[in-house]
Amino acid sequence: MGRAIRAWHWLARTDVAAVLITTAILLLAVGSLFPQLPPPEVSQGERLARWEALAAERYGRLTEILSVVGAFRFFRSPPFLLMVALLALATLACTANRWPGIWREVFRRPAAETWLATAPFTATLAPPPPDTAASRTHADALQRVPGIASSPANAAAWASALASRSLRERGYRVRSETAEEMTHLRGERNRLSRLASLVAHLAVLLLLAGALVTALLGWREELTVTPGGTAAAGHGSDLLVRNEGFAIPRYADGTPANYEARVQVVAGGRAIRRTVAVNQPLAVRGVHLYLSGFQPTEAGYAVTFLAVHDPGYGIVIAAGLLLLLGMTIVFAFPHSAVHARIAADGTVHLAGWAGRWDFGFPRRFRELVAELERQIARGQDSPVEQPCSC
Amino acid sequence: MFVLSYILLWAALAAGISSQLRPGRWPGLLTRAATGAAWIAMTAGLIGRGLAAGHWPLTNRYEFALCFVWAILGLGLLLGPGEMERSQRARPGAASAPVGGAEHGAGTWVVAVALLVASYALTRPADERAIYPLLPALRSVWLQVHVLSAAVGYAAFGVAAGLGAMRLLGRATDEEDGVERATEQALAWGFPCFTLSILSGAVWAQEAWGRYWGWDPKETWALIVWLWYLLAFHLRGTRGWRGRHLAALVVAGFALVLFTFAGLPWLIRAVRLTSLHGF
Repeated sequence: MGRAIRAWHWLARTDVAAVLITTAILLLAVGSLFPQLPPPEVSQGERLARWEALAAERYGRLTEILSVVGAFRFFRSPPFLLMVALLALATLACTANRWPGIWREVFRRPAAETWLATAPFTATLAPPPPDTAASRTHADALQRVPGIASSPANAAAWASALASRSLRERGYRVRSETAEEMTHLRGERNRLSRLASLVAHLAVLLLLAGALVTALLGWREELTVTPGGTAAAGHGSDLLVRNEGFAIPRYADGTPANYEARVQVVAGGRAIRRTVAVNQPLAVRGVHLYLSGFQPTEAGYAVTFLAVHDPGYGIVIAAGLLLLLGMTIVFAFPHSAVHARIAADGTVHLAGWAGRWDFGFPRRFRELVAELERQIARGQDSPVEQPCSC
Repeated sequence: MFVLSYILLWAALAAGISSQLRPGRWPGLLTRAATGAAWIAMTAGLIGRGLAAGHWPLTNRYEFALCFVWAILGLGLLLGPGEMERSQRARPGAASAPVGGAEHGAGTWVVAVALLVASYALTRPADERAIYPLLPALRSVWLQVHVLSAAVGYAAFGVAAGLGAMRLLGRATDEEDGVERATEQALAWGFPCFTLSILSGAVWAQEAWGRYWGWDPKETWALIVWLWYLLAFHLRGTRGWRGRHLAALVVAGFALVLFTFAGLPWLIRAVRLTSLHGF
């Protein structure tokens, strides 16, 4: 049990994921060098023999060896499937391990003092020293605030109001609390976006699950139907396809504009007539009919259709959309936070933190500091007490 | 219009190199102006070709190369120098800082990447450069979604590679941080776009061929490119692969992009593979 837990935590490591991704890249590159055996529905009988003859002509004596090691079924071979399984397990382990920590960070607030001490961006803004031109301007400014008379306590309230307004103007959601004569403001943007990377990871697992559903429960059948003839889709489906004609609309220069097959499909006791064209399959009772090919005959065109039942497709596409949504949120709506601690004398301690993909945060933090500096000190001769460590 | 755009790109490159050798206001501005003019000319050319053909100019390798160049220039103008300039302005004393430097050097490298792809486009044979009616297999709204998102994704990777090459081959400067941020910004654009390209390709494949993934060589190598950048994000986030390491990753990633775009047809011919993808 201990070994299993250690293996689980080992799989959750990002450097292990990096090794697995690198292995996947190498395997994919190798697999792409060999022609893959066509899918079962089109690799039977004469067509399979033709494919094998071509492979033998290409690879000579190596054909047998390559066939045995699975080069021609590379993406269905045990080594490849094992790599996919390991990647899936690593993704699951990583997501499961990271979820609790990220959930806590999103829904619980860190202690203010801890945060102020560890944030990568900090600045301290003090009101101007007494008996200076700037301090008199500062006092005048305090008096102009409705309902506030100039005093140290009001300096804190004023600084708090300024900081809160500046943060809100920058899109931060601000919460305030007062403790031991200190006012704490916490401004956050896109707090929930930290969950997006977990969503993206889960989407990868869902995508692989969808592919598994396709492999286990889906089926494909190639049907070649002569003019006026009928073919059954099979696989437990009662679908019958009748070829009622084939047309090739053309452009003015004679090149084909489209390929269209008129069909009558009987399923569930009902018959419907439709046109099946390239990129326009026909869907009937969970089976999709695709136009796959045509051959001229004496009586017209024999048309080849591909009947497909794929319950995994919807899962895969939903997972793909979820993956896209997750990564878009990660990159476009990164989380950032600014904490302001305002002392009784109006001194403002600022601390900022941003996600890796918030490229503009250092600049925004500097601009916030500069704006508050101007507003609090009200003059050129009011220095920032400590340099902005950003 | 494409030839005009190509000439303007060379002018932009020359101005950019000049601004590196003799930093100053005017060579840098000339670089951006020539790049902007090249983008406008390319835009006009693509619109004209689309109107003449009666369909979006996304149907073969030549048209894709043109869109690729268009997207590199557009993204480069939008992303490349932007954050670096804003970072510089926000620094104390920025008003007196000399104009030029990293942001215009970055533009030069992005123009170089665009020129590389544009030169490839010019080598395409006459039958690819001719305008044809839309093939039946390409009559789908997914043509626009899939191919455009691929072009923008590739272009963003190209912008990142230009910035990465600048980082690898240039001297260490105070603006390295801005260059790296711009690189990451380009990747943040490119990866979701390229993911959309793969996803929309899967939807289109299901609609056209009845299967969303078939290990076609083009599909496989698109997945390789996607995994490479996924690897870069994981390494960047954990082992702190910053600076030259990240630069090397993005340059290598773009080499994979170029192979997938232009080299794969050679591989398919050489190994006698089959592919359902025309380009």
